[in-house]
Formats: sequence, structure tokens, C-alpha cells
Amino acid sequence: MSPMALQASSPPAFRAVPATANASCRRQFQVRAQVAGGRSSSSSVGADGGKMMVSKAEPAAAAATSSSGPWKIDFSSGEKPATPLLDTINYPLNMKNLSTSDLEQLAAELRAEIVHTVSKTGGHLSSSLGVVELSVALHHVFDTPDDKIIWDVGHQAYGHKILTGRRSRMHTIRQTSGLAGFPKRDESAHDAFGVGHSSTSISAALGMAVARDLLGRKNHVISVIGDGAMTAGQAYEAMNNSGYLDANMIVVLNDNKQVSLPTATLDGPSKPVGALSRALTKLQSSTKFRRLREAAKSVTKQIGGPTHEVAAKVDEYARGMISASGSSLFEELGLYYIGPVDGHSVEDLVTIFQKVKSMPAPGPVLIHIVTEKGKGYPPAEAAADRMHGVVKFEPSTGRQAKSKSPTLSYTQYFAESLIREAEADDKVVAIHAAMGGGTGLNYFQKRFPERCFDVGIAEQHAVTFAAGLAADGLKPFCAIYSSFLQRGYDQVVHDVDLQRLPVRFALDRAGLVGADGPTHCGAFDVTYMACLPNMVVMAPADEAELMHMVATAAAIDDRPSCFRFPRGNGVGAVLPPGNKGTPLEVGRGRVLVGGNRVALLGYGTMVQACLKAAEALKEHDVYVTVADARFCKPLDTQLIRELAAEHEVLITAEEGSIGGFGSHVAHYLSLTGLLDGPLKLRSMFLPDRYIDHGAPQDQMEEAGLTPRHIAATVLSLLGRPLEAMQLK
Amino acid sequence: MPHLAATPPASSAAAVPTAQATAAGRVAFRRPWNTPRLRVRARGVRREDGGGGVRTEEQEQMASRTFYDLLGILAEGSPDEIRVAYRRLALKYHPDVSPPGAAAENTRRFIEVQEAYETLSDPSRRASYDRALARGVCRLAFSGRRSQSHRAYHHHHHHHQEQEEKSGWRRSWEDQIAELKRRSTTKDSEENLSWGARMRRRAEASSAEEL
Repeated sequence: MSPMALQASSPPAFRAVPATANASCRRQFQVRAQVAGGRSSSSSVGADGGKMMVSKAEPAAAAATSSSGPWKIDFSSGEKPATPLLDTINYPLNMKNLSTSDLEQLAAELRAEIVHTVSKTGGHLSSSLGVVELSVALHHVFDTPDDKIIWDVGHQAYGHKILTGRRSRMHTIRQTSGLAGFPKRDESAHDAFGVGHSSTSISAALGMAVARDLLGRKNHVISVIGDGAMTAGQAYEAMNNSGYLDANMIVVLNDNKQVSLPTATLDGPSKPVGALSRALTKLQSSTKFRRLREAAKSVTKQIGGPTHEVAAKVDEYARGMISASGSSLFEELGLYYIGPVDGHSVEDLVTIFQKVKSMPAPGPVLIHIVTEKGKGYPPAEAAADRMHGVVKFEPSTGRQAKSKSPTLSYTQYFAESLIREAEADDKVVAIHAAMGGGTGLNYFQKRFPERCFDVGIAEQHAVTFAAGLAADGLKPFCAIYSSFLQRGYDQVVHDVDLQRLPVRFALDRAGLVGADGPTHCGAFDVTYMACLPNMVVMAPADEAELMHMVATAAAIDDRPSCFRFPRGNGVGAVLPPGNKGTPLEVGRGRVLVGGNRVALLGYGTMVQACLKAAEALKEHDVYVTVADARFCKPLDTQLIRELAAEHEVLITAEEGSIGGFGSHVAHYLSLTGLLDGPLKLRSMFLPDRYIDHGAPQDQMEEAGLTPRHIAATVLSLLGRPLEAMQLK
Repeated sequence: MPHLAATPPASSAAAVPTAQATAAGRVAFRRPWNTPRLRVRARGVRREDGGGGVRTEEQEQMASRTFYDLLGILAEGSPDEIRVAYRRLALKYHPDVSPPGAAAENTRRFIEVQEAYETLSDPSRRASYDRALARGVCRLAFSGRRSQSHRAYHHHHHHHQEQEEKSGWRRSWEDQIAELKRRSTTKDSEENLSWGARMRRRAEASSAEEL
């Protein structure tokens, strides 16, 4: 259907053109009435040959059916695509009158828009591309914000954001003061639930469905969850409860056959981690089953008798036998299974959603759609990691901008040193929860395939599994992001610490994490680890220290231990030879810079900020001592006593919440009576609020933990507040 | 296989054996066509099973039958013979007409027979199967799961299968939706005690009051 015909049927002739100038004006779009000029279905407006073209494979007939050839997007020009149909869509309301072929055109334009936008900002690419048709279908059939759509994890919701009034701000995504990279309730009424950690969508959707029923409302509730997120226990807990409560809701299972991130190994997605994927594969290939049912029906037709009963009977007998055992898994839990469905057919999706929407009492329904991650953008389809998470890239080729850092990331240093430990000791094994790429253990996996365990998105199981490994003589290293370990905390307490099992926790992404925002921020790990009686808690100040702490953890065999390190790159410290660390003496810190009157006791990479502050203070004729505590538990009490004895001011600094390193130091000082004297103690840590996503520098400013803030604190305590304010 | 509507056709123009409901509710039927009873010489061990001979799973597998044996015909059988043999066995093992105790076993056999028919009725698949047999790769391949030997002759049909699969999916979910619709109309009857059903009934009642 040509855009001209569309003009005739849509509301009064305004065309919203995305505002380019002010990101800060929230809802003002430049609106101008467009004269509907004759346009072909190829959207090269103004016949400018350089534009990225979104076009149909063949010229569209006047009454084009949806099957008249797929939409093709030409990425080769690298320019912003012309998107005439998408330009008319500000909110889902604008999508209601679109025909199927319009929706397909919209999907193609949306795809082009996503590629173009993410190429400029970086972020998650291929997950959004895989659900373009789903997003279009959902918003065409359902009416957010009254209807609730909950996107599990949320990194696939870029298309959803574009269709719900945020297209003009997409260029700010994941940046300071810009759109969040995940759905966020504060940001838009169309984001029904905040997500970021996986497998929460069904639980939340069930809660909303129950609230709706108790409050007498009539809206629909839909959750969209991927096959990877389905491996987490919470998804089953939620499905089980949904089946029991029998409230109306829809769960869309987005199956792209990955069942883990495609970054899991260096060569692409790992083989699926469990039985679920086999079940899903069987579901997809249940042609046999379908044919069997049809055969049974046709035979019954000859016998005479109601065919649907026969089909049901054959189902009942044959289910366990043939390939539909997966569907009976969901049905055992109480969800009605529909599928598999081609997740890239807008027509199929719209049909199914409309039918289910119109039923009075379907109860909980699971719609299993099959999609391809990165669909429609050839470089993503071809890449081993499917371009799951990208930095800025060139749209015509998919080539990403290479980072120019002279040092590697802490993650890589960690992986490297763990490999060295494993080479020296064959009891060292590594465990992660579906984050092979993120934790660097994909390198370990390549080197020691039999000693690396990816348990799927199952942190709770990962921890207890590691406890089991330790109990029977191995040396397990559990590499889990600081914020993700929150999910397995009881297991850390009860299964590891209480029994004093020597599990080593490598807490990556500790502290503020930049663009991912508060959902991924590792603010709490010092607090929640250091309060455990048997846990050794340490943090490296740089990458060399990190390697030594890996060795230290490997050597601690009588109790659990953990070490934390941030997102980002190393500072350029001199690495130990062969990248193999040497174990540190447990409970011993070190003094880096000698000074007087004021001591800065840093924990972890905040030591670097302390060093910079010390440099800045020299210009003010203040020479501070800088010490690296290394251990939060056990504290280097001798060091603390010395610092307290020899200085007037002691300032602790950490990139963690209240209740962490600063707390432990304060308690120690008060217990030993050192706070009864002239000592001035100040603790610097993350403020008691969530820090929004943004550039790491901006976040540290917001948190008040930059070198400037530290130096200002010193000067204030020395009675020089004016100079404190003048610091740059 | 023709796609059937959810409601059974009242009567079909095609030759259909008339059904007579017996008092017990079981369907008895007369076969209108004259099937020459095929007395066949089967390859290998074959037992005409009237439901009497007790045979264990292992015995069956160890008998290493081929699809031809299963259908009770010669390897050179014509398409007609294959079809006729299939119908005979399908009607025999259909879950609807089997005695309750033998339902599971018969359904399993029904599935096997179905598998055999699908393979042998398609000329190219039958040719592949024959080649595989000649190589000694597979015999009675179906064991209730996708088995290794299938890959041998399914390989070049993979692409067609994919296409077929996708269109096959549509029919599958259309059925599922029809079934859901049917269930959904009766779902909230008084017997259903689930929380959701109770809430829905309450909502219905209060909106009926308002009218």
C-alpha cells in the first residue's frame, strides 16, 4: 500500500518529523502538514540516490498482499534512511489503522531506524532486530499504556521505545541524562516495569494481572521473555504460580535458539546448556506430531466421529512419545501452549494476538515464537556474537570503532591470570552464569573446555554448584557480576560461608558501570560480602594487584574468599612476569605515598582517585599519605592503628554503598577507642541513592567520588574550605 | 493430508465407511472397499499380530523389521498396495477403536505405521529409504524419537522440510487457537475453582448487575 493511500486513511494530515535540535524539549515535535506527493513504495524521497533505501523486492501492486515479496533494506549507502511510514507513528495509537502490508513496511523501516540509531550511540543491537515484527504486532493489537507489555531484560526494547514516543530521543540512549538502555517506569508510561536482570517478566506480569483482576480492570498483560531468560528458576516459579492462579495473561517466549548469549564462547554461542533447549527444538520440529494428528483425523473421518476428540486423544497418548514433550512441560505448569510461530511474520503474530485478545477466558497462554537474532541486518546475522552489544559502528559494513586504549580491561587481566593459575594447578575450575563474554571466561573455556562450567542464567545454582565442587576437593572460581550475585546471595551465606567452603568469587562490574545504569551497578557487594563471618574480602587497586589477588584466592583453601574489580581498563601497572600473580599476605595493606597530617585509605580502584587527589593537593602545599587497604576482611588493623596514630585526619574511600569498607574501619576504630581522641574520621562512599546511567566520568561526579571531591574533603577538614571550593 | 475443519463433516461425498454407534459408544465400521487380503511373504520375521501375541519392545527391535515388514508387503510393492496396507493397519491400531488396555501400545504402532506410510508413499523418500536399506543403514527406523538413521535420507530434503515446517507451523497453531477458543468458552463454569476463574465470574456477575 503506498504512503499516499495511507495518508487518506490516517488522522489529519500532520507528519511528525523527528526533532533533531533540542534533546531537552521532551514532547515538542516539529510538525508540518505534508502535501501528499506521489510516491512509489520505494521510499527514496526526492529521488536522492544516496539515501538508505527501504524498498519492496518487487513493485507493489495497488492491493498488495502481504506475500508479495519481503521488504529489503539497502544499507550500503550508510546514510539515514527515509522512513515515511515510521514518521507518522508517534505512539501506538497511530498504528491501529495500518493494514498488514503497512505493518510490514513499518517493520522494515523500524529495523533500518534501529540499525542507524545504534550505529551512532552503541548499545544492544541484534536483540532488538530480532523482535521488530513482534514489537510492531504487539503495539498494533494492544493498547499501551493501559495494556501492559513487560520486556524481560529489556535490551530488546529499542523498537518498543521508538514506537512509544521516544524516537526523537533515541540518539541519547545510554548516555548521561538520556534514555535508559532498558525499560524504566520513570521514563515512560509505556514501560510497565523496570527490568535489566533477567527472568523477572513473568512474575511481574502475573502481579499486574492479579492487580487488574482485584481492581476490576479489563486490560491485557503480556510478558516477552527469551529462551535464555527461560533457563532461570524464577521463570518457572512464575509459570507455576500463573498456572495455579489461572489469571488471564500472555507470555511470549522469544526463541532464537541461542539459550545463552551468543558471546558465550570465542566462537559464538555455546551449545545450549540444558534440557530446555532440546525441548524447544523438538517443539519447533514437531511436524511429525502435526502430521500424525492430521493422519489420525483423516482416518477418523472415515470412521466417523468428532475429529477434535481424536486429535486430543492422539495428543494424550503420543505426546510423551513423539516430539511434543516440550509443550507438555508448559502445559504441566498450567500454561496453554501455542506454537511454534514464525516470529518474523507480522501477519501471523497479529492474527494470533487478535484471536487470543478476543477470548473471554483464556487463562495464562504461552505463545512460542521463533526468531533470528540480528535478523535483517546482514553483518549481525553473520557475526559470531551476532553484534549483541556494540560500540559505534559503520552501518554499511557493521565494523565497530576500535577502542584506542593502551591497556586491556580488568576482565581480560582476570581471565588471563586465572588461566595461569589453572595451568599451575589442575584443581582450578571456573563457573559462570551465561556470561562467558562478559566475565572473560570464554578465554578460559577455550583453554580448558573441561574445566569451565556455564550453568545458564542460574546464579543460585552456580553458587551451590561451586560449593559442591569445593566440598569434594576442587578449587572453584565463580565469576559473577556484583549485581547478579545478589540473586544468589542466600546460597553464598548458607551454602558457602556457613560451611566455610573455599569458593572463590570474582566480582566483576563492581561499583558504577556507566551506560548500563543502576540495574547493573555493583554498589552493594562490599557490604554484603564483608558482613559474612568467614569470607575474605579484598579489592585490587590496579590490574597487577588483581593478578596477585587471583593467586591469593587460589591459595586460600580453608575459607571462602572474594575480590571485586570494576568495569573499564587498567591503569598501566607493571604486570607480574608470565601474568601469574603471587599470593599476598592475607590482611596486609600497603602504604603508597608518605605524607603528614592527613591519610587517605583507599579500597579497590578508588586508590587511583586518592593518588590523583594527592597530586592535586601538592599544589596547595598539602602532602597526604595514601594507603591501599587491599583487604576489607580481615582488616589490616596494624596499618589502621599506625595511620590513626600518626595523622590528624583519616579519610577512607571506596566505590561502594554504606555498610562497606568505611563501616568496618569505623567500627574497628571505635572498638579500640581510637575515636575517643583527636582523630577526625571521614568515610567517602556511594551516596544513598541510585545513580542514573551515563558516562563513567559523569557518574563519578554525581556520586561525589572524583579526585577533586577527595581533595576538597581534605582541604575542608584542614580548615581551608575556600580553597576546597576553588579546586578544579 | 487435507486440513480438516474443527467440526466434523456431516457427510462426505467421498466414499466413507458408514459409522454405527453401538450401545457402548464405540464405533464399529464396515469397510466399503474390497481389500484383497494380501498374503505376503515378509522379509525377516513378521507376525500378524491380532493383539494376542505378547511382544516386548526389545523383541520388536531385535526383529529388525523394515517399513515393508511393518506394513506387511513386499519391498517391490506398488503405491496402491502400500496405501491399502497402510489403511488397513491404521484402522486397526487407531486409538479410537482399540480396547482400553491396548490403547497405548496401539497408538505406538499407529505412529510406526504412519511413519512407514509417509516414507514409502513419497517416491523420492522411498527411493532414499531403499538405498539406505541396501546399504544396511537402517531398518525400522522409528523409535519414538528422531533417530540417527533418519538423517541419512532426510538430508537432501532439509530445505524443503524447512519450508514445509514453517507452513506446517501455521496449521498447528491454528488448531491450537481453535482448541483454546473452545476451552475458553467453557472455562469459567462453576466447577473451575481457580483464583482466576473465581475473579472472572465475579467480574461477570457485577457487570451483569450494572446492566
